[in-house]
Amino acid sequence: MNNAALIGNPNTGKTSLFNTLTSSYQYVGNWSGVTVEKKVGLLRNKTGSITDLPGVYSLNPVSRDEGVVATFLVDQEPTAIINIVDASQLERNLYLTLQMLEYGKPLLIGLNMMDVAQSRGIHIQLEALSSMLGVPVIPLIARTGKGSPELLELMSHISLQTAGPHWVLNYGEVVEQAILDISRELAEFVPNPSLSMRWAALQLLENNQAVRNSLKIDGDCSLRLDAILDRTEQSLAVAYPSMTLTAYLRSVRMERIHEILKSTVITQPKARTTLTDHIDHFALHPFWGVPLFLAFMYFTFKLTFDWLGNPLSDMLDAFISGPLSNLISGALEALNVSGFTMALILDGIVAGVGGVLVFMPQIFIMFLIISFIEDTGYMAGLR
Amino acid sequence: MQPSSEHLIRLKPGHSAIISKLIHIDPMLRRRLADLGIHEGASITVKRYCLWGGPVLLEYRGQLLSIRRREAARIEVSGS
Repeated sequence: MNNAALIGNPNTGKTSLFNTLTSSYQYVGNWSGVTVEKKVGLLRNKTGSITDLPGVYSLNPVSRDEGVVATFLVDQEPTAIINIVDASQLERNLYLTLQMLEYGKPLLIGLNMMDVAQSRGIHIQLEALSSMLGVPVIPLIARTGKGSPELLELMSHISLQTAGPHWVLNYGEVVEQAILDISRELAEFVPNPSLSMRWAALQLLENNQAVRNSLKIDGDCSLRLDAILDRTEQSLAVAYPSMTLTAYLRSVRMERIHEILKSTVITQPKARTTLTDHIDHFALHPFWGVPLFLAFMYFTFKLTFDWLGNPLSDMLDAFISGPLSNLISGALEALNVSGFTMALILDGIVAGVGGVLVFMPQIFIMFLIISFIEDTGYMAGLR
Repeated sequence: MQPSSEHLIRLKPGHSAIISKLIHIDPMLRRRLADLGIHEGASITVKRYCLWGGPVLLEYRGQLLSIRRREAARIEVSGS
């Protein structure tokens, strides 16, 4: 059974894509960190399952929520990784991608938000990117579902491959030696044989506590590991005095990312301000923004109640207690039901349910306006 | 003679500067900024100061983020 995992930065549309690819429903929120629990779904084409993981900027966690991703990668055995990348923030997103390439499992990159990138004048050469990373890159607009069929297609092919991408980033003599030393130490503690030692070693060098805890190494090994880390940090300090080991690793990766971006991305300065910028100028204006928002809220209130909500509600009420009730009582009489049953149905069920249903117009209008505020980003921008 | 360094919070909205020292801010914030690509040497723009002592909105390479004023007061920047 194929088990894929969805990995990417927060707010890259992973959950949107998860919904499109699977047959289960998941609420999509505007703020990051909404996916705290692991969600597993069955793919639409029934070729396997996919797990939606919380969004992270790096596998090295800052919080418990982020630790879920690293722990999952150590404990579980995903057969493929779907890395969702925000095309308009490539530099930041690729940092996680490099770590996933080192993980060594078959990888697919879904390059999402291509439309946003384009509107900012960012042009990405997909083939060049794909060849520099050594993995397929599929353009997506997860919001509309564009590109999803191609992604599903590629996912079912990827299960036939057993080898992941051959990706090696050289971290310099000192660190490469440390990787070998650590790999030797870890040899007996690996939970599953398909786990890349190089990846685990690099995560430990970066002081990834989640990976360290998941590996369940014993006390002695842990001490030896600490010794290797100290040794490495000291050796590194000779050539790079003001850098910590973690900062050094980051800088090596960033250098490679810049190389990649230089040959695959062309940025044109924006020719004109976008519609969003124009709207933002009014809606989020430092002085007029707040009164404008208050006016909008007043408008919402009025629409929900006086202007539209109440009239519709009254009409619905009149319908339920009038024609509908008459229809039902007429039918019941024709069926010759007892007085008790008639009272139960008319006064109990119809009146009771009807009493709640008459509020549907107000509730509907209010939620419609609120989801508009949320989804357009007005609420977020206002803060 | 131009001062060699000042704090981020001294910048007026719309102005940019290069970050020279991040050493005094909360380590978790420093890690978060690093995740976003913001480190010493990065050029950052102040967009807006929120009302009533609220956070300061910054921009870095198309990313908008806000941090507490207290933290912005501990970030040293230079020139632009």
